[in-house]
Amino acid sequence: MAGMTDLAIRIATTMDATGINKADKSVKGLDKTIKKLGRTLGVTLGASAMAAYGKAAVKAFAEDEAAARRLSSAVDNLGLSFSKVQVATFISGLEQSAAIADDVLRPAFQSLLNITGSLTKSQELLNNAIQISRASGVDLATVTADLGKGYVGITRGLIKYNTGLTRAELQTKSFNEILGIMLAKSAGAAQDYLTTTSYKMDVLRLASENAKESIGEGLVNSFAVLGGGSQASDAAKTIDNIAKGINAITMATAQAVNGLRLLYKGLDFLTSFGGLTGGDGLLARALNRQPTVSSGRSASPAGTAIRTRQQREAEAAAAKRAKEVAALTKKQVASTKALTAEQKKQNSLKKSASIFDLEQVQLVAALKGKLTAEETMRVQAQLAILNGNEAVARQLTDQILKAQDASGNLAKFLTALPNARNPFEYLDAYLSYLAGKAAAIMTSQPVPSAPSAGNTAVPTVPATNVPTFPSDNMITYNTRTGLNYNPNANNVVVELKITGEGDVTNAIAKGLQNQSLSTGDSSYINRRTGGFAG
Amino acid sequence: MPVELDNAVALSKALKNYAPDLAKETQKEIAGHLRKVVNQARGFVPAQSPLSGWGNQTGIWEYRAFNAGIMKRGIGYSTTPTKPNKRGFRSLATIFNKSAAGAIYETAGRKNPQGMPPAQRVKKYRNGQFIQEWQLDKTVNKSANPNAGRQFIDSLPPLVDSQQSNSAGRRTRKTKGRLMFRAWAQDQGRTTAAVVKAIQNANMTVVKKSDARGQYTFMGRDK
Repeated sequence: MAGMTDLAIRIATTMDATGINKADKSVKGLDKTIKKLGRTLGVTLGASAMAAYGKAAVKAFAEDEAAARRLSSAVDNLGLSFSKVQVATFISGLEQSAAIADDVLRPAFQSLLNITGSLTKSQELLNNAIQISRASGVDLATVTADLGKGYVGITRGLIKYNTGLTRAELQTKSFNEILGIMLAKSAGAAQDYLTTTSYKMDVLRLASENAKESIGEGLVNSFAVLGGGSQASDAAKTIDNIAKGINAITMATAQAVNGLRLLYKGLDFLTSFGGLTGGDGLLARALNRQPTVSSGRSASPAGTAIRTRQQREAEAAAAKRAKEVAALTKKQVASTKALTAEQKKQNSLKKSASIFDLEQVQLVAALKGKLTAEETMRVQAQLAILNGNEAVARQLTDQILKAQDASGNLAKFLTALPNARNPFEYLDAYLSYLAGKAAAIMTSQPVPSAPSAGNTAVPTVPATNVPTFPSDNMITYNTRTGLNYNPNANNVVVELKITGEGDVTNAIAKGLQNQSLSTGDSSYINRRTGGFAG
Repeated sequence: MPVELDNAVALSKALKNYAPDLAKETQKEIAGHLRKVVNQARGFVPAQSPLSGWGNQTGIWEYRAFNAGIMKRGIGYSTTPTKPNKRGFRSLATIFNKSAAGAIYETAGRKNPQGMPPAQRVKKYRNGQFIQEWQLDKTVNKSANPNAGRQFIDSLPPLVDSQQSNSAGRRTRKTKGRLMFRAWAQDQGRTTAAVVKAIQNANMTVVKKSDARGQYTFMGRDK
């Protein structure tokens, strides 16, 4: 009862750790159980993770294998079946050097190969595409597609690479010229990329992907056999089954391995005719012959001749095709230029013709209106000038002049006018005179005579019926200096004389004082002290 | 603070094995010491209720009403070891006050020397709306007389602290009281010493009887 209440005095106590030890033991047991559970879960989860990874690896391998098969078929179709090894080596080498997955390289190379038909050209273009891709940031597949289109003359897609070329220039320039510009702008980009962290990450990612593919290949081979087939789908099915039941995998694997072993033994027995044939067969042992081992090589020395011949033929075909494309492009450009020039000419003629017609129409329309005789003559003269009829134009011009001056002197005067003279002509003679004079002084020779002023005779203006303007003396003419303008020539000086000067001065002073006193803001006059304040 | 003894459980087992009579004698000796304290504590129970109303066995106070007999009978002692508490300690000897009225008389005013604060009107959320109602928890004085708690405590004798100022351990309000703790304070540790001495004597007796020198040593020590 005392233990039930808090209101108690506990006199002597002792430590009884029995319960605590028991509890501690229980807790430790629980801890062990939890750890076991954790390990079990970890194993289970690890198995699940492995199964998932295996599935992904099988998928990666299957995709890689499919891409390789596609490329192989493309090479076969181009008649380059003996170059498969070279293609594979090139892709592998490029994958290592550029850190680009073969999954990306294969389709790109395949598209270029289909377009160009040349192995070397495709390799060259793929390398160029990698460089341009590194520089521009555009993915390799897009760059490859654009270059492929550009190779056959469709250069529209190349504008996105900021080559600095206009659309018209892209259309007119050849693909090689454009590619040269693009490569010049992206020079060194591929090499610079190799020093970046991104490249290192790419290398790691690539290694991981390749490891996954290798693991996937191994899994496919092993699980496909275990699954009773030879395809990747069989392997995937097997792995799915593994993921579904971890517990059953051991038994299934064992059974499959056992079955495989039995199957292999059976097949071996059948193919060796009960052990008679084969490397270690009864016959071989009886005849004491060494078993023949296939070297895996073809009868001809690696088929080099066929391969080189195929390559030569393909290169020739590709070169021919390239020439055809180039010629076609050149022809197209020439025709475009000719068409453009013709259009330009036509436009110019059209414009000129329209202007000419317009002026003519205006003049003809003017002639149809009510004009005086003189105006009619002027319009006709202008029309004759426009039409290039010089005789009629001259005749009409004379008639107009005569109409202005009935005496005909004006026409004669204008006809007899000398050519315009050099106003500084006299300076040459004068300077020569000065030089001669100086030389005479120095050499004690007689001083040459001063030069004459030249032909200073001014033709007199004949009397005509042209109204004369009043001479205001503001414009004068000098034979040496030419025309002179004096705006003050006609100024009139007016002299003002004021009589009774004192009164006027006083009146002005008075007026100014009154004005000053009335403006308080501007000046303030203290009337008492007589001082001014501003 | 209680005196902690090492291996007292082993002593108890040894007593039962080697000296069953000694075990009974030891318990009787301890009980004799405890009875003195208990009797003294019972003597502090007043004959009449300090407040007349507390003696009315009505309503919720039916089983808490002042009853000197119940209060005296509620004060007792035990020499049976208790079950271990959550930290593994067992009490070998205990004095207790187990009646409700005795507990009230013992501890009233320990936490709130001026009585519990009067209930307040508080806002509560009931049936989707906020309403005002009186506080009903155990921390407030629910009487209509706001000074009821203080008046009740004032009518009781003062609390006495059983924990001496020079003793070890924390000084808390839980060692203060008017009956048991008052008697324990007046005892001034004599009972504790007598109990420990009785246990040590039993220990020495068991050691002599079992002739197992050094195997069973039950040394009491004050913690």
